[in-house]
Amino acid sequence: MNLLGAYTPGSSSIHKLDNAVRITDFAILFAAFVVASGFVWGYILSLSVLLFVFRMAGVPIKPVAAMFWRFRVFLLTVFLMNAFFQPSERPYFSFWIVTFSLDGVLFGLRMIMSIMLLTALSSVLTATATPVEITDGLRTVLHPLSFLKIPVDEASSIISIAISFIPVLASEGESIILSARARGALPGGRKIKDRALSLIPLALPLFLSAFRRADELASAMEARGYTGEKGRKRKIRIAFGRRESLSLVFSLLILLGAIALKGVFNVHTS
Amino acid sequence: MSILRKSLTTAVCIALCVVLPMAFHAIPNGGVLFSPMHLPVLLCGILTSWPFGLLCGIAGPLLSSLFTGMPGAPMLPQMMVELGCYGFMAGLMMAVVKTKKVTANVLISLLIAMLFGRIAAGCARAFIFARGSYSLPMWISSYFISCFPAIVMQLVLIPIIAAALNKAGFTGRKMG
Repeated sequence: MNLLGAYTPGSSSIHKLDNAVRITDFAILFAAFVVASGFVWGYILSLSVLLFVFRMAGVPIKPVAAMFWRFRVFLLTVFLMNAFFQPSERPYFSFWIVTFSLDGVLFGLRMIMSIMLLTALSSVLTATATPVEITDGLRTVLHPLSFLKIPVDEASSIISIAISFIPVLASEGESIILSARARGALPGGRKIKDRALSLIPLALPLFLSAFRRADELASAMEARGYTGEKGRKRKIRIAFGRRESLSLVFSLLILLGAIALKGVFNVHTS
Repeated sequence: MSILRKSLTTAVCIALCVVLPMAFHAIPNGGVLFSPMHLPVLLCGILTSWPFGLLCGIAGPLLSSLFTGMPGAPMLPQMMVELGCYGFMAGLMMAVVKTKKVTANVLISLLIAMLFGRIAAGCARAFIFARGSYSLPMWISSYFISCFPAIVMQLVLIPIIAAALNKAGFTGRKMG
């Protein structure tokens, strides 16, 4: 199901990290990559860290590169949007809201570079943890918010149910497409417009089927006396060992390194 | 609608946030052109209430990113802001707007939510995510011109789906 970074079972040290610590590590590395974006040495740092993390996780890089090729139209759109709509004092040409300049082109390239680096980093996270592990980690990380009366546990339960619905609805969608095709009701066609229009009639049965399932599940849960997460206590357990502390120190050092590099080169990124 | 039914409706809409884009991404640039994730979020806000719409708008893109890799990590925060605002405002407006016709309520709520979400996302990009490098032309092109097919599709499909669900009694209440 995953287009990139599909979960790859493994025994690397990143696979073995505690869920909450892994989420925290990646959040810190994300922040470091964002700080390091916009200047050459920053990109070199991010790229080195990325290659190191890939190696540590034992995750192949090839599928990620293939994924970027699949999304080339999206990346090109992002580049063109920045190249042609970025205001500049030195434009090559300007007409109405369209401005083409070297600043825009450079900004577009920086944007694409950041998108690719951060997406590749997130693919390591999704390759080393299942979605259930990730939501479990998020639930633990966000648990302190429940003291501010933010219903984190209720939200986590809804997300857990949503995860269990995804494969069911995906197969339901496939069945609807196949049955529409069997009836000849799915013209498809080569043009983008035709293919898009052919998907619209699928939306209504998919929504109706999804809501029917939700309704049935609600009736079943009500019949068993479920009234919600209110009043339920959940034990938070974090396995914090040597591996976890080392990974946190590594992430924090990278973040500090990115901040220091930015300070040394006195970069004012836009 | 009970809290449990609202929770499950939200769960289903979050799941649809992952499933629908998978179909639309088969079309080149389909995600940008048709914004399929907006449909379940707006619908969730309309059918349930603003807290659930907000949750759907935040969790939908997050789960989609985890399962399918789209939206990519750099786009994820701004999409969470945009969709969160859609779900929040759609739910809030459904509680506030009271005309005699259900379709009018849904359409007014939709239009306000779509405008509010776009303004909030534009502000978020201008002041947080792309500070100093974001402009009004970029906002117009990315939120109105490039996704014009999505705007039309949402304005046509959501009232139809909401009416169909309402008529079928799946939502457990009569809207409006």
